[in-house]
Amino acid sequence: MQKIGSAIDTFNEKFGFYASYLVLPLIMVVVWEVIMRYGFNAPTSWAFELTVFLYGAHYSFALAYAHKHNTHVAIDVFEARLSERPRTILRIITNVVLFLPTIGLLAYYVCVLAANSWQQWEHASSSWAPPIYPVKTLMAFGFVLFFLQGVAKLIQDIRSLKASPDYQLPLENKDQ
Amino acid sequence: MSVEVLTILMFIALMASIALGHPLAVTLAAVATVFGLIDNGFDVSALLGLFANNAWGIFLNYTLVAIPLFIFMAQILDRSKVSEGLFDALYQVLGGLRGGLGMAVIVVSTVFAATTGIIGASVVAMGLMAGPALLRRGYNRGLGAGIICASGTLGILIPPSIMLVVYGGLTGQKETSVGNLFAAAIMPGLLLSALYLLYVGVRCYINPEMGPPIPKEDRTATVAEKVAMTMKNFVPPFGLILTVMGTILAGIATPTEAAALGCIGALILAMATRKLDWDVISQSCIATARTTAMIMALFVGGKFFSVVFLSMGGGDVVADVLLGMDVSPYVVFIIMMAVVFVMGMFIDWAAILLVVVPIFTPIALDLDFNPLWFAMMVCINLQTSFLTPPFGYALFYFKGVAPPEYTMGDVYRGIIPFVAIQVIGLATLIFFPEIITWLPGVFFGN
Repeated sequence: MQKIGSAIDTFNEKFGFYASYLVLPLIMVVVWEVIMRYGFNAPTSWAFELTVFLYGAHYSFALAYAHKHNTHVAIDVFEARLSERPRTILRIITNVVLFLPTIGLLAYYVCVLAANSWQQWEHASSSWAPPIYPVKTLMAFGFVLFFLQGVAKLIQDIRSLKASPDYQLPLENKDQ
Repeated sequence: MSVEVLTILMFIALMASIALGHPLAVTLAAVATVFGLIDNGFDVSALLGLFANNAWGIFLNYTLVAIPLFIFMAQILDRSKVSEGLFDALYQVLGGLRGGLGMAVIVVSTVFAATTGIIGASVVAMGLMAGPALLRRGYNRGLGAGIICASGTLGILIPPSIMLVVYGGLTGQKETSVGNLFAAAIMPGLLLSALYLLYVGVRCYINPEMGPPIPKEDRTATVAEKVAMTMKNFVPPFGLILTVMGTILAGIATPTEAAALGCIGALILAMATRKLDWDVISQSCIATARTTAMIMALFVGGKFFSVVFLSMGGGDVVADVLLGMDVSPYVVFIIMMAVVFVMGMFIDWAAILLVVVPIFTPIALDLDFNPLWFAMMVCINLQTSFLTPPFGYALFYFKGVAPPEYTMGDVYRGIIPFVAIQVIGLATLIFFPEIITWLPGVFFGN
């Protein structure tokens, strides 16, 4: 169990780290389009769609990474007043009741959305007409990773609950 | 179950589950899922299929592309330390006045409000930089905390601002396009900044102990030096803002394109101050990805919530209550503002925006309020939400980085006059709506 948890953690850390560099090509594509349109009066047919695809992949891939680092905003004022053990129990409960069913269902149905797109061999109805199925697959992949990070957190919390009561969870700083 | 009961239950369920400390985005989606299933007779694949389609719609939302770009620009600027240079310069220029140092903080924050667009960054930066400086100069601790928190939150309002991009991306209306919102927010932002300056100036003039001038022996710079220092530190960031805002307002570039150009500008600026290396870029990318994911997750969760809430008729329930009261439209307006204000005491701005705007906007339109004016009033109210105890996030950010001499009591006491200024600012904008609608009219016509 623990092995699965730390495997998910390691993968999401690495993947999120490298995926965060997607903002750089995103900047390039947008600037390229501006240069072509104003500098050469030759707007591209592909920049607009490539821009949204890059942005979509960028944030989808970061969902799990942000969850791993506790960056998703939460009203933790009440939770913070609890001592370590009840807090871990509360985290396990909210994870099982709120996160896993909701994000699990969502991840599954986003996969269904992607699968349907493959079946129809879906392309965008624009002049560039890029294929949509790989892009929907990227989004589905992001949501699946997000779900898996929730599973990893559950495993981690259960482990720390079993460990000695004074075991301290490494808390990450929130940054915005 | 009747729609009215469901509506009330959905809000109670949201409030109760939010308090559990789970990420807000997931909580919103979870409540939406439960009530969506109750409403559609537990047709899981219909509801989740709808959600998946909505998630795809957000994935394709070109307006929102500006969010990671503006965040990246702010991250690079923050790490290039240009704000410190400007603060040092204004410290010399305004330091001789009573309350001058406090005013320097407000001016620096206002300029950088235009570059950051996220409040965490500005309050943290100013808290680290000006918090100890104000303390050393014998400023009243409450006043110092209030100045830094209030002026730091201008970042969320003064364009380019992430909040306005989210608002524009959410409504998708022509009247409240991101360009229009940016143009509309300039004057109110400057008005609030001016009111802060006025307050600090007058308060410290009457009572110099609150904000003493820096001693004569520290005022070493000559006038020429002061001018040179200010220009050197003021021109680069200001030039960047002018480029970004100018291209948007002139209609040359979309906010997304202007944001990308701003990123290039910020990189050049950081290179010029010799602060740019791979580590800075890497750190900025990581911080950008995390913050973007946080906002986008809220966007997805908030979208699910409002889709379910509106499709089960909750919007009509709220509208019937508010419109059925047979009172002046302004009373309804003030009730809506009060709801946003009270929610702001507890919940994050993005969650309020994403839950409340889809419900309130049709009501405001029904009452013939100008949508752009209404949007701006909501946004200023949300800026205030960062300052209102008990859960004003700006106060926590400040407390987290400021020297320990600033107690939470100082911060809470010090922020009260500034919250009052916010309310005065809102009232001014009710009586003079032209302050909001004038600039958008100039740039985009109406």
